[in-house]
Amino acid sequence: MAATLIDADLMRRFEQLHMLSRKMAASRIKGERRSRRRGSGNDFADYRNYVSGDDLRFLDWKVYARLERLFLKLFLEEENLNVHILVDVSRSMDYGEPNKLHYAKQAAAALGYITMCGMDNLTVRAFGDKLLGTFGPKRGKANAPACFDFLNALEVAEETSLERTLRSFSVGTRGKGLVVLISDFYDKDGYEQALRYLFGRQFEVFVIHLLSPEELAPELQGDVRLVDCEMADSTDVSMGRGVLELYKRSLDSFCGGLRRFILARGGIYLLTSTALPFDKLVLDLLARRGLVR
Amino acid sequence: MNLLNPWMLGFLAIIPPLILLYFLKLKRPQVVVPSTLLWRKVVEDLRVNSPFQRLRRSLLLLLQLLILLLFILALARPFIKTDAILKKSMIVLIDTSASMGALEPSGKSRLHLAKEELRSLIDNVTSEDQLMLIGFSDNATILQSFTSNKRQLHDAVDAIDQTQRPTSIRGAFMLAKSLQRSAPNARLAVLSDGAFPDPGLLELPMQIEYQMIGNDLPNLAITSLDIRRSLRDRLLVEMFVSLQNFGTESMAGNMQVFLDDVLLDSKFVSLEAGKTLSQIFEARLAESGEVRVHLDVEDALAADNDAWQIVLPPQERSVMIVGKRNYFLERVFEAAGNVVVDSRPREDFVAEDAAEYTAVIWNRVADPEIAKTNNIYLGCFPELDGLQTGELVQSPSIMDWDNSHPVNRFIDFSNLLIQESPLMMLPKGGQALLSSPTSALIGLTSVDMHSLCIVAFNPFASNWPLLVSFPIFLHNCLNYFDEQYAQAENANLLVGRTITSPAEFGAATIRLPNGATVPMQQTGEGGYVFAGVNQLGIYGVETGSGLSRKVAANLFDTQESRLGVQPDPQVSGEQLKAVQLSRQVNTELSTVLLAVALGLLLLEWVVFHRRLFV
Repeated sequence: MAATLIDADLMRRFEQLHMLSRKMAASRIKGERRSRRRGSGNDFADYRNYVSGDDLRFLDWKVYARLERLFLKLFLEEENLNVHILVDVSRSMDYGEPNKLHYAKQAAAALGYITMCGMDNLTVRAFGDKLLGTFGPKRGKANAPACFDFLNALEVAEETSLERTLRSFSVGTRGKGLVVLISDFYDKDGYEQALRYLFGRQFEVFVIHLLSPEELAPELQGDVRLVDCEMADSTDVSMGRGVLELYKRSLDSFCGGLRRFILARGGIYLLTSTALPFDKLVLDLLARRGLVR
Repeated sequence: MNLLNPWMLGFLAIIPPLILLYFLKLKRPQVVVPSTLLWRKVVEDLRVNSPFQRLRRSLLLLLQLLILLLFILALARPFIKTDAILKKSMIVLIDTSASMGALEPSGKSRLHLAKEELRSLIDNVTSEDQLMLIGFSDNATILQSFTSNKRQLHDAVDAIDQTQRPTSIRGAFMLAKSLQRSAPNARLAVLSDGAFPDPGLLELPMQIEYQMIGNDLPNLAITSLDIRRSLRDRLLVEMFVSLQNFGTESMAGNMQVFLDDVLLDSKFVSLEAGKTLSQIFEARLAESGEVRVHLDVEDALAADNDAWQIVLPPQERSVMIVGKRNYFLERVFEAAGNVVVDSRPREDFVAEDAAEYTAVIWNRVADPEIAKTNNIYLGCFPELDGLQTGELVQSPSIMDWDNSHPVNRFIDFSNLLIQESPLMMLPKGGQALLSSPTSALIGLTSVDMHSLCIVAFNPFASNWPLLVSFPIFLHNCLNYFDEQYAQAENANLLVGRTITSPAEFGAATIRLPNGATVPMQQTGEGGYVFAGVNQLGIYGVETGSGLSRKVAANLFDTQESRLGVQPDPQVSGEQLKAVQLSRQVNTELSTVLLAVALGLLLLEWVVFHRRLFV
């Protein structure tokens, strides 16, 4: 099953990668990432005055011997990273050659595998007009096959409702972490409010805007009736050079708006075409954007 | 641009259904897209303009409409008139007759307009073309033989003179026909007002292109002027003037009669459209004189507002009766009062004296001669080639007489009873004035410009002397001899005729109405002739022997005076269709339109299949 998403060679290469977070890890679970929180790690961080009730194990007895005052030794907490991968499985994703949904599953599988290999917490959630299925949170390579199976088993949902999905995600997710959102962002209600929920929860947001080549440069001709695959909506268009130019302009403005919205809120935006081989996306583009290393 | 089949434009009604069908046929193929989100924005942008946006954007529909339009236009067969491209030889016949002198409302004469037309035609002549110019009135002359040289052609056009001659186009056509052999594909064009009679069967090998010059114009014309001396009084000159209004409105003016340039009479005349009017003037004139009638009226043609006639001096009438004296005969002339009668027996006849007399009457003489004057033979026959006599016929019945002949004027022979008459065969050229079933009874022939009237039977052995027709016959003979004399004098003629002068008077010159002097041409027979009577008016003939006489040339041609143009005159029984000569090439555009439509059809095919621009 896993072979349909990532082959063995790529998996070996992905094992050497780590998920990067620009923010300190913020999981309650002890992990391998340094946390800003003081706690029971190995690295010394600071001293503070002893107050009644503090764990006597962390008293610095040597200092007490010299100064006759009680000081408590503080250590840097070591926590793991929560990585949430949100995959849009709405009908609009089941489009294009190569198929956007398949591509999204591959990307999610790769990132999930990298996450699990890095002993970070991985949660994969599919959504359409609502959150549909959840994998995790899991960590450790051993959970990879289950993750792949989960992704493979994902079916196409009906519509997209980013706002409803991301609101319920934000409300239902504790702690902070990295959110990788893979979607085409075709939502008639827009993306702004939906993304605001993510940014409001202080998530580190990484957006992969996935479009097929047919959407980036449509090759439609003549008088056609365009039927929306999600809504029972159609639009009559007489194709012409001018019409296609107008479409491209419209697409540019859509992508540009999304990009500006995300960047302005500290997120990272990556527009990619399914024409780009997916290993290149992970090894090259995502690495360059600082998602993996 | 004009259309040959304008009703084909009715097919334009197909266009609205085509547009309708176009909208109906738009069963758009459905294309599933992930989202119409972006497309809707695009469509909104497009729909900002108008519902015709779709039309504007649809190259296919536009092409189809254009193709349909072109096909319909091609069916309507549009054509444009392009300036003449001769591409071959052309013979142009240009009318120089009197009617071409009519002034059009523009102030230019018809000939002037024809020349302008000709010049514009010449301007279009290329080095591949050849043009020949033939001027015609009642005769035809080559003004310029085939050439492409525009300068020569323009010079020839400049040299075309207005004549006052009548029109006869047959000669011009025959000339063109003979010249056509040297340029077999030559076109034949006629520039004329169409005032010419049908020239009859021509068997022209080429189509005639006729360009009508001029418009219908009003004209009051002098159609005839006859002068004669009164039979009662030889000094009294009677002038008969006929006028005709050829216009469509009534016209009026002063008619003035001049005798030797002195105003004799003036009358105000007014004529309804199409009417004729005759006026008689009288004057006493003992000598020869010159009568001019002038019509003071403002009309289009000046040439027919003047007429001239030469009045010859009165001829003293004298007859010599040779043979037995006869009471009836002498009484006939005595009763007339103005005829000198000289009766003498046969043996006293002297040939030299006879020339002084108007006529010699041979009364039953056994061996009559042919005197050098007019001769009347009563019951006898001169020795004349071709004149044969036969046996006597008893009581020949009167079968027929030629009552159109001047000699038989006012005569009824039906009561004539003849006792006997020999059979008579007249010589060639002779004319039977009275005939029985078997023979001519009275004949008329001529020898050396003199008339010979032969009465075969003995009139005094018939009841003729007792009939009123007898004196009338003899007087008619004298009048006829006078007319013949006037004709021989050649004093009044129509323009275009020739003026002759006998050889015995020596070399002669002609003084034209405009004062110029031209020598007359000597003919092969020795006489002198002048054929250039192109202008109206009085010509002077002066001979080497010092004799001079005057000749009046008149138009008197109703065809020329009738200034209504003939839009489609007849030639060989077929109507000529008027064309615009210098711009008569109708270039049909159908082929071009079809070619363009075909090209567009191909383009539509390409667009339909490849959608290059869609």
